[in-house]
Amino acid sequence: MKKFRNLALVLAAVTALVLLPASNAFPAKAADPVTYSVKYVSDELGWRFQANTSTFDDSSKGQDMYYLLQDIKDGDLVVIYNDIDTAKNLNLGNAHLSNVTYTKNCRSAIVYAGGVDDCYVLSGATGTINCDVKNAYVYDAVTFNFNNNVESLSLYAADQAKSNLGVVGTTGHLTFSTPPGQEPSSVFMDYYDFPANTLRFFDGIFQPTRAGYKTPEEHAQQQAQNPAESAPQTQPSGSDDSDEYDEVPKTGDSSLPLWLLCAAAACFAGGLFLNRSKASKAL
Amino acid sequence: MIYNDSDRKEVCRTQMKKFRKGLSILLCCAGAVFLAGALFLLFRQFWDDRNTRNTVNELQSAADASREPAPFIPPSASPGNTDAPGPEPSVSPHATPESTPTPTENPFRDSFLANSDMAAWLQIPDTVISYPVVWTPEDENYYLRRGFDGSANRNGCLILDTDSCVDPLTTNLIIHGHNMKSGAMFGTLNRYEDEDFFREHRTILLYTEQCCRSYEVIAVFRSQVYKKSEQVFKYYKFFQADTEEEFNDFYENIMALSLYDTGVTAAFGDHFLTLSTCSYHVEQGRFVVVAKETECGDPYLPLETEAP
Repeated sequence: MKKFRNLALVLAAVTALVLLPASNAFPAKAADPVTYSVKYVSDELGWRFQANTSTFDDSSKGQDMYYLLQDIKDGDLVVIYNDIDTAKNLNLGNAHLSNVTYTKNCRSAIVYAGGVDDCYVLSGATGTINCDVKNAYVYDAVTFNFNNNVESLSLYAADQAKSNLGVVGTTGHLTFSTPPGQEPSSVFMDYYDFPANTLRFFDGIFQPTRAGYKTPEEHAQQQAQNPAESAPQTQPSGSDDSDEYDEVPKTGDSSLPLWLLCAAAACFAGGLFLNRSKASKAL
Repeated sequence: MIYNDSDRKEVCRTQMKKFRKGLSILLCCAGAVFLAGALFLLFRQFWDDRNTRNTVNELQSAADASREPAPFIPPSASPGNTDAPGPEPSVSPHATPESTPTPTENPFRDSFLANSDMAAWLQIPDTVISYPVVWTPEDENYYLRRGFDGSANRNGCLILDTDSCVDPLTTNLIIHGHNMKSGAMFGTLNRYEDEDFFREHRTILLYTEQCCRSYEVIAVFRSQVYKKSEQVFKYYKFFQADTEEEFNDFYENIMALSLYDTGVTAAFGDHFLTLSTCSYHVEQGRFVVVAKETECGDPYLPLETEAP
């Protein structure tokens, strides 16, 4: 039985080494959401993180992002800090995060994630987010780009918009109002159904033409007439598999030699293991 | 024949030994096959890289040789020029007539003559990117896995999109190139993700048959090839702007997508050069560098004409 177990282990190891890298076969599962604070540390020339805290303690260096990418999962929260002026890419993996917050005056951070429920962009922040966002909350003057769809975008400012803002995907609902809790409260804008790549603010000036969005009345009317069409059509991240891609030259490079080398190493290791255990048995 | 327990165990042990030995040999054989395959592919890649480098070096050195300045000949020693009067000093406030630039020989004349599919030579100074660009409107993918001489080569050539054209010049020239792991072709293009790299390499040169066009990088971004039905901004669909609205649509989109602010602006009438290569951040991802034309150099002599 022991021999069979050894054989099965070797075969399983070979299979795992050859097949698993290509597929994310072991997704992380954990119960409670974790809050990560992430900061670009110029001494380390890279992003570092601290877990279970929303503030970044500068006295400790924090951990390498490699470990965050191993642990991050759906529902986690990420708080971003950056003092460096040059744009820095921040890869948060493919997890669907419950909250991403660009802190006050956070410099240019370009975030890649699998999706975000609530995205907070605080006053003075600069950045870009590359995934679908369910609810976005933007405070005062920011320079920010949503590169995918936003279901609901709420802008907050005392009197007038000052942001440079763009949404490359569709926007379901835009509101612009005074910040929550401020009295007297006012709602300056309340519009619906912006097609892809139309919602922009340049220096606070609202760019879309009147034909490019719907008022609450028009939206309600359309919803009453045809509820199925009332939702904005999701554009950039749609997954119509039956459709074909545009014809553009495929300019990638093959990784086949690397995979073959890995497979060869695994096979040789397996063979060696069997030989060695045979030899040790003989002794 | 009746086996007792110890005999049965012995038979079982012997069979297991054979099985293990067989499996061990099988695994080693499979490993040898995989290793041979990997080495073959790596050798082929090395060979292709070597061929590409040799071809490009030959063409480049021919161009460098033709660019070397001609030895200076004093006017008095120049035959047929002895009677030419020197410029008269003038006190009258007449505007001096603009001197027409003297056409010079195209430094890549030999390359253009060697392959009629060559549309231009792309060069990013102080980088390894210095390659011929081919244009085959009848079959865009012809040079995708062929070298400049038409032989099979996994590096392929830089390809000018079939809907782009250098003469007459379209608003946007899109050049596709392989993102090779060896760094060949556009294998190092994604270094533009780093803003410091952009600051040191903001100029791109495109030597066409007519002149040398100088470009300045205006936007750097990641994008992707979308499905035909998707109504989103597709940088690879923009070639000609006949109206300001069309121009602004492309311009605003690339500026919005750009990873950082290059500080360069453009206006209707400007021309763009778009360099596109594969990227692996999403399925069908692309990494894109867009540059704006800043200067068109002096015209070159027609290819058929040899420089005096």
